[in-house]
Amino acid sequence: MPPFKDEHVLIIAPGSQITAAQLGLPESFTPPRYRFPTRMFPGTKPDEWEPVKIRPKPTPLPGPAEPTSSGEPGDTDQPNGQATNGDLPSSEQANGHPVPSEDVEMKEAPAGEETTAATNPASEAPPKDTPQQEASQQDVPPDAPPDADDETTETFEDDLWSTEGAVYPIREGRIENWSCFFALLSHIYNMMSPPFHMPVLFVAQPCWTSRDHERITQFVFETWKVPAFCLMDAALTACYAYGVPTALVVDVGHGKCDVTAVTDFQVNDIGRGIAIPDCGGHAMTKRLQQVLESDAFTEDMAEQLKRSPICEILPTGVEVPQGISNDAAPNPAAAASTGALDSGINAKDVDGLRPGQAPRGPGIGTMVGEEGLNGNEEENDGVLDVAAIVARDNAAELLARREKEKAEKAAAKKGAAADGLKIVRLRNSERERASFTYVDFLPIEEPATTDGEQKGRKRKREIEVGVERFMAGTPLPGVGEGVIDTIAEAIHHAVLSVPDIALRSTLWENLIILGNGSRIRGFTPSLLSVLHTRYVLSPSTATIFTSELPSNFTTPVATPGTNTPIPGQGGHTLHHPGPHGVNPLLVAATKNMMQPNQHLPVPGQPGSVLDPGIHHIHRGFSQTPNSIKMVKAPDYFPEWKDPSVHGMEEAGFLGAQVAAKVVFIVDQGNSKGFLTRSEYNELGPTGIHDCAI
Amino acid sequence: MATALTSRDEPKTAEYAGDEVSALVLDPGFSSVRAGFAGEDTPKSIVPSFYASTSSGRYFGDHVIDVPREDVEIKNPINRDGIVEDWDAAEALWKHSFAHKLTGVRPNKALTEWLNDPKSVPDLQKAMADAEDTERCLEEHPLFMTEPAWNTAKNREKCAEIALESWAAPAFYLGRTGVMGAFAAGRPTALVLDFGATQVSVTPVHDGMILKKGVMRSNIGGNYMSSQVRNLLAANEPDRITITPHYLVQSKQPVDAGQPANFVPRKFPEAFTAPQPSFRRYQEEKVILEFKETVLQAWTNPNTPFRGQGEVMAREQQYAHPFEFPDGYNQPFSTEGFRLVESMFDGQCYYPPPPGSEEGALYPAPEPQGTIPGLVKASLSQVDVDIRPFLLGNVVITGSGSLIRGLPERIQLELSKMYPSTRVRIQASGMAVERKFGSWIGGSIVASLGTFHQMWISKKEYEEHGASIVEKRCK
Repeated sequence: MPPFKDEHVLIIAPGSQITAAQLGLPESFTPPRYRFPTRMFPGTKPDEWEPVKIRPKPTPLPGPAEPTSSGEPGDTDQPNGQATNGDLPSSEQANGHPVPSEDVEMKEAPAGEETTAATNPASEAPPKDTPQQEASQQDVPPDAPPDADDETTETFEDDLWSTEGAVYPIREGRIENWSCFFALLSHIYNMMSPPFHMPVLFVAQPCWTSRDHERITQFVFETWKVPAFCLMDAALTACYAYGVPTALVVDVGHGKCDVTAVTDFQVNDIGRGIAIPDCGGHAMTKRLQQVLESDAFTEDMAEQLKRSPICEILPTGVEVPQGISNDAAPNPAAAASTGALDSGINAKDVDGLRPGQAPRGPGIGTMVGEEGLNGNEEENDGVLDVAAIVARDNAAELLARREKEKAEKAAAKKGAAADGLKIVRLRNSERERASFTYVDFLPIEEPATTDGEQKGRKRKREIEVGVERFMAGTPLPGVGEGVIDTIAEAIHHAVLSVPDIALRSTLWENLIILGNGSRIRGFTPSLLSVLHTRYVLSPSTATIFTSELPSNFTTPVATPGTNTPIPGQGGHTLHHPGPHGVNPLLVAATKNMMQPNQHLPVPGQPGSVLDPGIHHIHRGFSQTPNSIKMVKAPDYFPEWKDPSVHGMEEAGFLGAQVAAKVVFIVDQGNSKGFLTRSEYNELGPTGIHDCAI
Repeated sequence: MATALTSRDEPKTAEYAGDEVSALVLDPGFSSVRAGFAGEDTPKSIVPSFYASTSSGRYFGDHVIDVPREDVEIKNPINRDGIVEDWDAAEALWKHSFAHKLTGVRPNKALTEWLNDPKSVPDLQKAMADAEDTERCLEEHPLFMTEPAWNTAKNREKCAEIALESWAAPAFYLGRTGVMGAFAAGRPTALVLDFGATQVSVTPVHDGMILKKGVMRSNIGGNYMSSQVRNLLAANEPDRITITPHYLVQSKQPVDAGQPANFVPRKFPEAFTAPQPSFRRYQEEKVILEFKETVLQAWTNPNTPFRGQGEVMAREQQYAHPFEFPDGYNQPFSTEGFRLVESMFDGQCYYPPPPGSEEGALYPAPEPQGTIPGLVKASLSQVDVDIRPFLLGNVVITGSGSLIRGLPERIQLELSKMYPSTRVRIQASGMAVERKFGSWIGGSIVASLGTFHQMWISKKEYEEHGASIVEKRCK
């Protein structure tokens, strides 16, 4: 088999909301080039799927050859007898012309009616210029669809805006609708128009069953006729991205969260947190909506609130201004230092302003316009709109930044604008939790759904929310703990389930948090603070002098007088007899702890030479964690440092590229990292289980 | 790599030998259920046997059952002898163990989507058939299950019934955990010491056949050890130690060894019905498990017995293991760790329960014949004299409970002392995973052997002969 080429590798990473895909490995690994919404719309016949919603025209003609479903006949060798609609509606082909240089099959694009509507945003797709592009998008769409409608003479038309009736084939990571999922894969494949000699790497959700793996393998080999296929667990790709063999990977998704302990590039199946329900971004949205129910919040409003910079999860020990959240720990010190001030503000908050906010009509703060303040609109349409998806992923940061820019501009130009004032306050709220301004303004977009027309989609209004915006991580009713608590618990459990006890402290010190669900402000710090306050062992005389001190560590020498020998504990060790508090030297010493080793002598055993001077014996069996650390993100991928990428939430895709490079290009199958075509012909779909990864 | 493909060639369509179906191996235990496909080296799906039960239904699986829900109760379908008691729950649990990670669940649309909307059902006939289909979840895989050697005949038939009737598996076999432990170690003849959660059992296996008379067991498994830990903590000087599980701790402050804990308890939302005591107990067990991993150690000094002289020696500080409880309380444990393990060998080292506790009734001090040496002795006395040396030359130690540091060495010492004229060799894998999943791995080996195919009970045979065929076939 000739070696694979970088530019032929196809990577697909399916998720519940977004399926990222890329053809070819660039010189330096980039964020995913394409992001497809993971959804399809039912076609005209059962088990046929369209990437955009189609709806019958109000005046139906018996048109037999509507463009949306008249693509080439579906592939008949679909597995499991599911007639997947592999073909794409012709109009979509035109839409999804994301990179003009690629050879999308042009024959498929006779109906150019939507080209104007969709190619513009799509062709601006390179993710790094998201902010500008998002702004510029605003001009295009509103007027385009009517044009499309005019030109369509068939019975059905594409509705680019509606997501109504969309089927999301993946729910909480699980593939629930196979025919839809395969249709989506075909759609993606057709968008890429890849060459034949194309190795494929699939990022597998942890909750996929062996059976699912087989199905996907079968689909890929038999429909796409690829020469090689690799199915890699999402947790492993994270490790590849960060370049660490042993790590604790916390992947916060849309509907679920996966917590995986990876040791030496091996996934630990014991105690693994697979698709822990109600721990993803959606659960936080739901929670926000719930606490704001009295303010008539819709899910969309809650979603946008969550993405806005004013929504934040506070670390434990920080009281929300009102002090009613269960998430915030009642840390007495924090309460004492900030409580008084907060309560003063809160009083005003509760009594004065909050009640007035609920019945806010659409008129207040409404703008109908082209101003590029909010790009969330575009997510709602079904068009392949890479830009909008990028925007969605980064929405929180983008909004934050745009707010800032706007604030600066406003301050410079308008000066007196109330807008500017508010935003300055908002930035304060970002920075200082203690001096919160409880009035925050959030632009909310409300698509006009009354007549189905596209007018008025750009309406914006500002909604103020109170401290509820800090409650995204608080428990749902009927459950005793919130998102952060559950994930922390899962992390602890996952580490404790690792059979090799000596590896546990390494795991604690290699924590990776990724996934777009973790983009909500304050998520990672809050999770870390919960882990710290709840699980990290405190340095104490017991831990320091009996456990993990390496023998080459010089015993700290304290001032005379604090050195009180303890009877029965060995005469000359340092001991701090104070009832509370811990000797700072102990703290310093425990911070320097190293990997314990495995050997422990047994008392009096012949051959075990015990040097009476050495009192500090390494153990591999001591408790963890002594410290919790995040893995430092690799800094040699400049594209991932681009401000529009904003962090490593999508590092899984970076890892997939690294892994693809390693598996397909460097290793070339020597360690059986992928299943080849000939192996597949021999073994069938179950062959995928024999591959190393 | 035989066929070279250029980028212009279109590969041929599939021609693979699709008739090889891998068997599913299911190894249910008291603390966890292991499931995976035969031929793999570790089970891919490990689910705790405990499940959460609320008014709205049962929850299975790690993490899901750790969430403090309102009025949640933690249950286990298996009783303290390692025998299934609640078949309803056991069936659901086992099904969960393989359906969610291995074979996949077929979504039952009739239940999820159409229940309240009869008009949306496209084809009632088909829907009914589909709904039934989700029950027959194992149609494509033969099922290999393990069972303890002391399983009752009725229970074995029930297993066959579930596998072949409810799950519609094409074939079924029941293997003994002890035998599987021997296979995992690659020994057809062995004396298997299986340290489970409920029981420590000794199973003599000769040429792959179990010697049933020689099966001995005692209630000194992992649960007994946890109970001993509880007794120890309750009797701690100067103050008794209470375990506050993690879910009740909001945050903790560092305190020095032996000082009272300083922590902020978790506050639950108002109008939240606290979980039932069984939930707290289950969470406490997790802390105890960590305690056992950290502190327990077997006494392996051949010259000094532990009781008396050894206990004093072990008091030295260098053998102390500090342990911190979730609320921040910490203390070093030295001699206690040895004594806890010692109580499996010597009933005198038993930690008596605090007054008024029911631990004593559930887990009394082991009788001399119930200790590890006692079990081995009783077991060997039941087997033929001629094969005793073979058994003692292949003592296989398996089960999670055997992961206590120094335990294999200690057993070696003990058995050498008891049978000085015979060479005693201990087979204990150094890999924790291999001992944890010993009986599953054995099952995986056996079920993937080509020669094993004639052993299966096929669905047809079952239908012809009825459930009693299990007794005849699975010996």
